[in-house]
Amino acid sequence: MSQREGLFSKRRWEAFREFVWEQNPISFQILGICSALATTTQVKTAMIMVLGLAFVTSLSNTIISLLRKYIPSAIRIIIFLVVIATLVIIVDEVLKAFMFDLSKKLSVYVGLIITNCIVMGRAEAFAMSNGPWDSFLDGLSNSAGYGLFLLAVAIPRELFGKGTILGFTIIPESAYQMGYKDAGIMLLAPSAFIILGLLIWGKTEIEMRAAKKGGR
Amino acid sequence: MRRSNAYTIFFAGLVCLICSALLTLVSFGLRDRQDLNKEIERKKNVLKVIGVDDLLAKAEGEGTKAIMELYANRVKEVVIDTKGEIIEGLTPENIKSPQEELSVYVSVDGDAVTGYVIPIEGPGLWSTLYGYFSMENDLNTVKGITFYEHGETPGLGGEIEKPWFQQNFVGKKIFGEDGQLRSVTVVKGKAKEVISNEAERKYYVDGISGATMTSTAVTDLLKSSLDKYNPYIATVRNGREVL
Repeated sequence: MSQREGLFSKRRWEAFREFVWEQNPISFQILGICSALATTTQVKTAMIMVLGLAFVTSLSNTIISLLRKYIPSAIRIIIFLVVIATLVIIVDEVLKAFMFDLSKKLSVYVGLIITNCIVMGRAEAFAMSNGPWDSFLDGLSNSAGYGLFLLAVAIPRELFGKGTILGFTIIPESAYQMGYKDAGIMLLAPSAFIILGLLIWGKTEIEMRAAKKGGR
Repeated sequence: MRRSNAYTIFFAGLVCLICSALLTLVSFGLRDRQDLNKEIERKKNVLKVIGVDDLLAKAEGEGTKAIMELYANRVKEVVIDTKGEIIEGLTPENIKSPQEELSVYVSVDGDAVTGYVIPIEGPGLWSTLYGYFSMENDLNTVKGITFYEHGETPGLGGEIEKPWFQQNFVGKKIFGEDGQLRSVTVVKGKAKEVISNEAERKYYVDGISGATMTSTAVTDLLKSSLDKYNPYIATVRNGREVL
C-alpha cells in the first residue's frame, strides 16, 4: 500500500456492502448452506452461529493474510485447516473455562464452525491475495451477509414451527384453540431449503427490477 | 509460487508445532478451571432434580462455595453393586468399572431421606445422552429428570434438555400395579391423545414432534437404567438401611 488509505475508505465500504448483498455468501456464492440448515430452527442458535463465524472468519483471514507470502501453495488448504481448527479449539477451551454456561449452550456449534465452507472459502479466495486489514474486514462482511440470510431463514422457521421468536410466544394461545397448528416441517431440514429457495428468488427478482430501472 | 519440498515440509512441521504448542498451553493452563466447572455442574445437576430449586437458586447467586455446601448438606453419595448391595469406601468419583459399580445420590433433609437420584445414560440418535433421574422416597413416583449432556439436534431432539419436556415426567410412576418395573414411556405425539385409558397415563409422557428417534431413545435408556437399579430399589423397599 504505497498510498495512504483510510481504515474505512469508500472502497472498503463498497466491498463490505457487496458481500452483504450482491455477493452474499449464501445466496450468491452458495457457501455455508450446511450450517444454514442445521442452526436455523431457532433464532437464538442462528445468532450464536453468526457471532462465532464472524469471530473465526475475521481472525483466520487476518492470520492467513499475514502468512500468505510464506505458505507453500501445495499445502495451503491444509494450513488453512490447521489455523482454523486451532482457533476454534482455543475459543472452545476458553469458553469452557470462563463462560461455562455459554459454552454449554453453544455445544456442537463451536465445532461446526470449522466445517463452515465460508471460513475456508474466504481464506482461499481473499486472504491469500490481500492485506491483513482488508482480509479482516472481508471476514466480517461475509459473516454479516451470512447472518442476514440465516436470520431471514430462522425467523419464519421458529415462528411457524413453534410459534415463538427468540423463545417469546408470538402466536397467541387463542389461535391454537381455534385450530391453528404449528407446522412440524418448519423444524426439519427441507423447510430451510424451501425458504432459502424463496429468498434467493426474491433477491434475484429485486436485483433484476433494479437493473431494468437503472438501465444497468 | 513453487517452493522446494524441503521448505514445504519444514513449513508444515513448523505450523503444526506452533499450533500444538498453543493448544497444549491453553488446555494445560485451563484444565483446573474446567474440571472445577464440571464438578460444580455435576453437583448442580443432582441438586436440580431433588427439588430444592429455591435453595439452589440462592446458592447459585452466592457462588461456587455455596453450591458445594448445599450439596454436602443435602446429598449423600452411595455406590452399590449390581445386586443392590452398598460398596463401602467408594464414591461416584472413583468408580472404576461403571458396569458393576453404580452410583446413587440419596437426597436428605436433616436425617430424613427425601428421595433418590440415579444417573441415566444411553445412546440417542446422534450422541450418548447423560442425565439424572430422581424419585420420591417411595421409589415409585418420579420427582424429576434432567439431561446435562447430549448432542441431539437443537430444536428437535435437543428439546430433551428443556423444562417443558422434563416437567412431563414429574408425578409419573415407574412400577405397575402388579409391582413389576414398567418405567416411563415417551409416546409419539401427546400422551393425552394417544393413551385412551386415563389410569394408564401415569406411565406415559408427551413426545417431541420431529424427534421420534430421540424420544424412543429416552424410553429405552430409562428402562435399561432402571433395570440396573431394580435390585437396589427392591432391597430398599423391603426396608433395608439406605445409607
